Amino acid sequence: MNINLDNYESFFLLYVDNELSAAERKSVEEFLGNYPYLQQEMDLFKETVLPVEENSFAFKAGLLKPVMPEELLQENLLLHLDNELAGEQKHHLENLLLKDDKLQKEWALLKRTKLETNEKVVFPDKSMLYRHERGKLVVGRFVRWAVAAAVIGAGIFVGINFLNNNVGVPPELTVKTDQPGPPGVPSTAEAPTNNTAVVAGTAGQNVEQSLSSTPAVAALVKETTHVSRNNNIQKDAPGSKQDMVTSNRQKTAIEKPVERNQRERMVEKTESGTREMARIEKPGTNDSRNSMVVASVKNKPVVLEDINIQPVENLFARNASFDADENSDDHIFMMDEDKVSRTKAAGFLKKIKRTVERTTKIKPGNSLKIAGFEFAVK
Amino acid sequence: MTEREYNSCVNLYADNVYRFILKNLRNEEDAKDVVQSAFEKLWVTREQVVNEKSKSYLFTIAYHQMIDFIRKQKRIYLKDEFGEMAMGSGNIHHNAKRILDEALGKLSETQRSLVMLKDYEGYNYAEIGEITGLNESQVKVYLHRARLQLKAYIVKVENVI
Repeated sequence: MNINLDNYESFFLLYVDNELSAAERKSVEEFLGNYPYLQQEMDLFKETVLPVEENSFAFKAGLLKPVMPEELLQENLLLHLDNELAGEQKHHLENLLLKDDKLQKEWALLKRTKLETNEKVVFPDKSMLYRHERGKLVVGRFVRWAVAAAVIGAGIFVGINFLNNNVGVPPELTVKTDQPGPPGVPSTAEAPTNNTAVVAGTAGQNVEQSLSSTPAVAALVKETTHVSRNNNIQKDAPGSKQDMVTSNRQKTAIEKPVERNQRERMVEKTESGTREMARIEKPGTNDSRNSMVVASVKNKPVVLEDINIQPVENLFARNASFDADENSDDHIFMMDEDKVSRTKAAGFLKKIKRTVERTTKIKPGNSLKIAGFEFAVK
Repeated sequence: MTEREYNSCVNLYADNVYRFILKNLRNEEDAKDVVQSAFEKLWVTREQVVNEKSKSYLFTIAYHQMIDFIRKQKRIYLKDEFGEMAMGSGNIHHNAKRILDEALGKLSETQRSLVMLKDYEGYNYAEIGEITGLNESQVKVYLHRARLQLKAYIVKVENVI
């Protein structure tokens, strides 16, 4: 830095404006020591610098904004009323409430808009709102019971109808053998099984053939089989495999008077024949075969040494028929119910079952249809 | 929710729901119908409802049933603003309550429901939003407007008196 009498003014101005470094300021001060008459000029420059005035703005308070604007204050009051204000804000607001009367009035007014929680309103009848799951089950059970009752009722109805249609059917003429006779011994009939009734009809022809060797017996058998055949002809008229009971039911109403006369005649003849048979019986020769042979008709004495004739215990003659062909369904068993070993209830149920099976044409063992419902049978 | 929990729910919340609906509809029979249908719906959907959330779920159902009912029936009975203002000076508390009820009747269904869910049931904004199908900000704004309306009504009535 080279300060001299030509450029000292600029250095003096920089010195006054405080724009020189410490070394430069020292150089300026050394220059003033060498030329003291320039000190007065330096002082003039210093006097041009404006002094710092400590003057404060008198209306500063009026220019300041409030710490919490009124809108924000009201929102905070509402949040505080709803208990939704956060911790620090809540604390600040509570402090403001303590200080500001106007704010307290506003808060009191807002608190009046809050509903009273202790107001009790009771629902009149809560029992109508209760629900129970069991109720549905009861309904389900009831429906099931109703269906079961309907099925049972239908079964009883069918059974009663069946019985009503079969009331009045008289027992048929039957001739009973306890055991089948030996092949070589002539007998009235050889039943395929033990305790099987000999019936007129197809089997009756065999009886007639077997007894034809004895004239008296042949006469009785001829008459008996004739009546029975007539009866069977009437019964077997359809010639199908339909149940004889069913066909009887259908025909009974039509042929009842005629059939009854025939049956009465058969009973009378059978009774007379039975009396004759009892008369010629030899009680001491009770052979195990127990073959029965009709001996005589109309007081014709017949001597049959090889044959034991047993009296038929029944007052009512019994009639049954069998077919030699086991595959045929044309079996008839019309037996006196008093002598059946099974109970009445079992017989009744069996009749119902048989009727249902045949009317619905189902194979037993697979399923059973009753009144439109099909039930699986185990 | 089991059958027992459902019936417990009836015991606990039937009165609250009934009060909520009755204050809105101002008709006992209508309120009973809405409450019944709400509980019926709760019973039907009980298998999907968690017992802990049964109250808010019940209020949600009841609220929507009520809104549907109002839309169908349009049977909200609004009283005249000053029709029953000839009140005596003795029972101030009773009058204040009645004024507040009247003021409540001036609010919209949504605002009224928000006020009641907040004051009676103590739900927060978020829970009220779940019940009414509004977001939290909407609940806050609607509720604050409702409060200011209530305040304005109370001040107005008191100035008239």
